[in-house]
Amino acid sequence: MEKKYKINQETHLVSHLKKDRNAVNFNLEGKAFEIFLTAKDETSMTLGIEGKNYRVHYKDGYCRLGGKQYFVEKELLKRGGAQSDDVGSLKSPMPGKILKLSVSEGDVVAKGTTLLVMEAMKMEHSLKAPCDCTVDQFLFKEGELVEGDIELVSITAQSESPS
Amino acid sequence: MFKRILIANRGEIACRVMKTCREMGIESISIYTEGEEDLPHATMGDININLGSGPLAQTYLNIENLISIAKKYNAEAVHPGYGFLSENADFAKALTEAKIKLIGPPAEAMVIMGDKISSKEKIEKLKVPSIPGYHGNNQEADFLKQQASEIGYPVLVKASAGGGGKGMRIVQQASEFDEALASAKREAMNAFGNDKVLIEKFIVNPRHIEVQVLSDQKGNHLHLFERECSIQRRYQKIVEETPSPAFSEKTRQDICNAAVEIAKGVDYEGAGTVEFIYDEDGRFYFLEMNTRLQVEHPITEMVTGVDLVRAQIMVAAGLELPFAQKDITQRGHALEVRYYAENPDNNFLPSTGKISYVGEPRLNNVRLDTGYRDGNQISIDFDPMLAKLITWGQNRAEAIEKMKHSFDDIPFLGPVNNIEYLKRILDHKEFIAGNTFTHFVSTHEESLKEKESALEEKALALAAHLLADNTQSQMTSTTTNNTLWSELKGFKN
Repeated sequence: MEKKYKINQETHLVSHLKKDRNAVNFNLEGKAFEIFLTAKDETSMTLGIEGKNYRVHYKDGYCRLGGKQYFVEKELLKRGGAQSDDVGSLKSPMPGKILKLSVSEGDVVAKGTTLLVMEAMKMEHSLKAPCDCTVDQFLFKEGELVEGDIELVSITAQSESPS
Repeated sequence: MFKRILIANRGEIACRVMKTCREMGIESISIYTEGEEDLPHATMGDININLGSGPLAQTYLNIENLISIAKKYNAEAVHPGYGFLSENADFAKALTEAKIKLIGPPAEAMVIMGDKISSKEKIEKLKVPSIPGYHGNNQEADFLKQQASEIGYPVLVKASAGGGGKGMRIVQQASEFDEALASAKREAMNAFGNDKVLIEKFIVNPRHIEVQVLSDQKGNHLHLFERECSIQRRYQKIVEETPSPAFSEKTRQDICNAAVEIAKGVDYEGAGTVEFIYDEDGRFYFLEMNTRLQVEHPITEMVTGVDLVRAQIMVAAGLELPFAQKDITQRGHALEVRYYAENPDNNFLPSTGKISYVGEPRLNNVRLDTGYRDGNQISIDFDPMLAKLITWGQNRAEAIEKMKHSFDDIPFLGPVNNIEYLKRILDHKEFIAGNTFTHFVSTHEESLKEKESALEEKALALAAHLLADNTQSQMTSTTTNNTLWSELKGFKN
């Protein structure tokens, strides 16, 4: 059976997954891997692959290998199989403050309309509608502080040719 | 010697200073603000004071309040760290009035060096070269062209009110001058409403070189050699090293002696840094003097063995420096990288989040200076620097190699950070060759871009995830079993 894992937000197909306490076998992107767990403590583990050992720090889904940070999570199947094309979201490009909500929830807006303005790094950033859409919900109020890469507003795309 | 010192700073530098205080048997007073209770510096002092909340002006920069804390808790001296009030002459004066010693230079030296114009005048008197240029009011095109010829091409035409590269032109030869001047003036007028320009020698492959100086109150002025800090992004240093890979012994002597002359000339006291621009023909030009401890001071400590904070405190207490110039040598090579919570692959935008795991050095002669521990939150209220990682090796190659291995030992798991980007720099053939110029990051923008991970690395990451998961679920089931057994036992009894 195939499973989907997100490695740094990129979906990867994993098959032939077999694991026990000290070893794991799987097929990642068509290549077979057999990796052994040779030691482990609270924040690190030593993994053996093809006779070579790597010490890997791991916590809360994060690890660093070859200098690079990886975040791994299992991709969950969405209920109802919502068509992702129809629903969009707009995320904060960086941590900052919501200055102004430029439209109202329920508004139907044209592509390119400014939905909200946020301030970050002493500069203003406008979040614009990526397509003609309905504004469903703002997830923050004016004046609120937000972190980076957080959904700020959810929208539904207008179908191009109404039936 | 002082019995108690107030540390007027936070984060890694506050921790760094408090370490030396402890080694010297001096008590420290640490300050922190609301929401910083979990950070290491908030509990590291012998006395820890909560400054409350509010903007910086009401907390870390509140001169009046800091002085009343120092008085209330009998601090005899204040260490300002870097940034914040470290180069604030008003703070220096207020401390003098309160009869509390500032661990830093006298206010006068701070004032002279804090102003670009007065510092350049002082430097000219000391016959130390600064970048040749014309900064005057005569804006006639022919006059400016003549100035450009005297300075020598290539020159830089720059808007006086300028910034961000607007109203700036590099002119390679006299025939291009008129047109470049006209367009720079137009652009300056549009951008700043003022078309006044200045002309400076354009330095082709500049390196940022700085010299550490140390002066006591008895008139001893020493240098602790150079640091090269050419690798910068957004005008902030991210990789620093000593010795500079570009120097001959003669250049090193010349530049270090020039720095000592400047320290003497302004009657300096304490630790200071004289910054220079070094060009590809081996000439150096004075840039500015920083009248404080620098972020990158640890690399100097690694190669000289001198604890700069200890020296600062001794000098402030009126003691003579315990070593002479001839006692100070540069041994081996030291490298520092600055970890930042930022995304190098998206314009170095700062990031936030929880640090799941910091890590610790595991190799010899590796030093980690950080103001964070596991579980701390990165906020947008302060500088996004996470840590400084410093390595020492017999030579440059060894220091670089050690750094690359240490990245995985100190992974700062959690918020998006620049660690992998630092590794890309250290892996770059031009960096390895020592071709480190201040425009390194922009020149090599393409070759410094993120590379696709090897499949094996992804497989290891996935395996780590699966195996961690595995043991966790096993642990849960074991716990459940234990509970069951004890319940059964209880039932039996």
